[in-house]
Amino acid sequence: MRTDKVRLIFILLVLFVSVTFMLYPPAPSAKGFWGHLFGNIRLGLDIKGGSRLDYLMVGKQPTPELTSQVITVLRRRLDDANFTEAIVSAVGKDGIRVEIPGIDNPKRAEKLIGQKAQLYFAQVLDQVRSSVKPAPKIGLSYAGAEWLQSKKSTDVWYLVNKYIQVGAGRLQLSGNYVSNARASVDTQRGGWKIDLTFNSKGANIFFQITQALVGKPLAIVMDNYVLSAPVVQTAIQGGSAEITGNFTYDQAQELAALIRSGNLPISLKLSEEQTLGPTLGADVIRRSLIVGLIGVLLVIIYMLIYYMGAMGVVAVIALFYNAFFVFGMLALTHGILTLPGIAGIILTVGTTVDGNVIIFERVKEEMRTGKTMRASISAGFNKSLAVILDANITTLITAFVLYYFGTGSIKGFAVTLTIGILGTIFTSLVVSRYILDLMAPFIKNKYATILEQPESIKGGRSR
Amino acid sequence: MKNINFVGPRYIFLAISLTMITISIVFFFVRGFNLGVDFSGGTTMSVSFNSMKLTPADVRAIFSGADPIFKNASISQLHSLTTTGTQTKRSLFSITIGKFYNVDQKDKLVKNVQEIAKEHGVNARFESFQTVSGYAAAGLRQSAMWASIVAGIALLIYMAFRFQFIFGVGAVSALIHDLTITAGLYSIFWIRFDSTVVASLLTLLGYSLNDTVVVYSRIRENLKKMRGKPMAEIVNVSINQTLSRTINTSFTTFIVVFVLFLFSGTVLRPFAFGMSFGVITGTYSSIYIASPILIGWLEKRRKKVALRR
Repeated sequence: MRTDKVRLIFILLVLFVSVTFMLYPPAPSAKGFWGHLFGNIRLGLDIKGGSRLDYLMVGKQPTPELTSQVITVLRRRLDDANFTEAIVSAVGKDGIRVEIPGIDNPKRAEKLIGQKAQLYFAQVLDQVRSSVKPAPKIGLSYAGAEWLQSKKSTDVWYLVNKYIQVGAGRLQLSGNYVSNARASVDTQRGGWKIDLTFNSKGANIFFQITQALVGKPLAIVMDNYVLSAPVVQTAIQGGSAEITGNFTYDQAQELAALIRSGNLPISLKLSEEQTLGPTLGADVIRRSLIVGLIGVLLVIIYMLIYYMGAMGVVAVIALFYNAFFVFGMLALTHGILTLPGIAGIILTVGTTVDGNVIIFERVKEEMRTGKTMRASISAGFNKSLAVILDANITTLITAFVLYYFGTGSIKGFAVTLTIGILGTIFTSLVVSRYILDLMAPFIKNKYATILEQPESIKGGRSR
Repeated sequence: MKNINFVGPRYIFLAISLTMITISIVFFFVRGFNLGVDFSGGTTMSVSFNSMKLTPADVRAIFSGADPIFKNASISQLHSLTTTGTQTKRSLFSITIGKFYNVDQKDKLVKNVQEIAKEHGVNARFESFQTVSGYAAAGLRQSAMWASIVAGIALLIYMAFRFQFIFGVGAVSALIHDLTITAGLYSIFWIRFDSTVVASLLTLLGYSLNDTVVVYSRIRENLKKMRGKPMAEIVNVSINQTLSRTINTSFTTFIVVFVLFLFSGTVLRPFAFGMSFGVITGTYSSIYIASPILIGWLEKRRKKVALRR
């Protein structure tokens, strides 16, 4: 097959793939022409708005198992609270990143994430009203006991022991034995409560504990706060319990979700927060579009004026082709377009033009030596090949390094720059070449002498 | 074709460049950098108000009421913001403070500010909020440093692989020249220096190298073609032959990044500044620094080869 046919097939194939992935599957929320064209490109939180929360795992040496456990628990909690679009990921070896699009106040999410949710039942040994933590009690019966504050009223303190005296031995009951938790209306006291269901082992322990504590209070402790401390009326069989405390609907839902999702094996400490509201986000999108369009328009005008005629047209076509390539590949790879990513695309305009300029200048030089148009194009491309590769590979190296070391939005820059550079190489060496060849018969070599005419009429090729 | 004498006055340009590098280095040490919160730790927020008459001083008063540390915060007014759907214009301010806010503290700050704003008769809305703890900032600084080192080494290896040693030296001199002067401008004009700026400087590294590579390729080609001609002439002819390419590329790239600098919001402005100036210095250095540096060395080597024969 002839080389230019092969080129054409490649050009159409790449364009087809790009456009297909931009349009298919149709974005559900797309509106209007532009919405459909760019609807499949995922936007970063720094453009469309949302919250990014970075946490450090502290208190213990984080291991890969621990990290994946943390991610699972957070994932469950966020899904439970309807933050289904949230992304939870590990960053480095001790970081956890939570990204939630579309919210402008991460407070509710943060409350879910930041809690370890360590739930346990404890025997209440004493209860006092005090504004400060009471002094520890000394004595054999107080071994392992500690003063904990009530969640509801901060001036109530309970002396609790998680090792519950049952007969001669001691038993422990933690949230790990809870198989389900859900919020329900508290018909007796009003407000909301949480219904707990234990697994069979937990049900057995719970029965023994309640049997031992009839007439005495049993504290339900979460993250070192006493949620409630009801008095046990009778030994409870069947493995269900309830946490009452006149909760609001939201509080009850949140607690139930935390208990359901299990406790975090390690403490999380917030190290970074980045939130962008929807108004500013919309403003950013509008500005970026304007900036991109003005820049591209100016470049097109410049190229058309400088390279009067065919070459100018080729440069403009190359520019559009590469734009489709970049957006198509972004949609295909599910890359996320961040604000610096937009800068990467804008920079791609520069590299695309550069590729074409290198070639055009070379072709012009060849034309000056009196070669035919086709021969000039062929020689021009061959001689620019190495330079174009060199020039783009250096930028590619930088982009790779930035991808590896960059965080969040900088990675987005590296991604668009990489795609843009690959697109530049392809457009310069294949697309521009094909179109220029196509136009060759119609371009007059003003430097050429008599030599030129016959070949272009025969349509012969220079190789 | 015109033939401009670029290499003739090379010592003058070398002197100018050395002066600028010296000034830059002095600024690095004396003044330092206006580090963004991602490098220094702290908080940057943008807050909008439904009054266009508010000045940064008013905003400072409102914030200081919520937390006295805002007396020393850096506050600047940004472009006004129009909420989509409505036509109401809001004034927008950027506030930066060297303190990390966890979610509870942030919540308290937002509530307090909104309350005090109400007392001032305006309505405050937090549009964006970025807070970075000291620990996270140290991590970001470190990865930025590693990125720069690795990128530098990788580019060097590539140059060594593609060109002779002396070309590598010339290219690296040009790179150091561009980086130092551009970074110096961030210090001199006290422009925010954050992770996007590091990305911008590294891209500029690639760009400057790209420019240099194009001229070098031509010099390499002409060394064979113009055997026996004086080195200065070979280098000068090469620069001239690639000149229209250099100007066209630089100019178009400059257009796009400069438009970005003019019209982009505060987030990308420091990035666009580095790119815009980087294109200029990258072009200048490939013509006036990277190429003339080769002349002396190539001349010496040619004599050596001649002696051996």
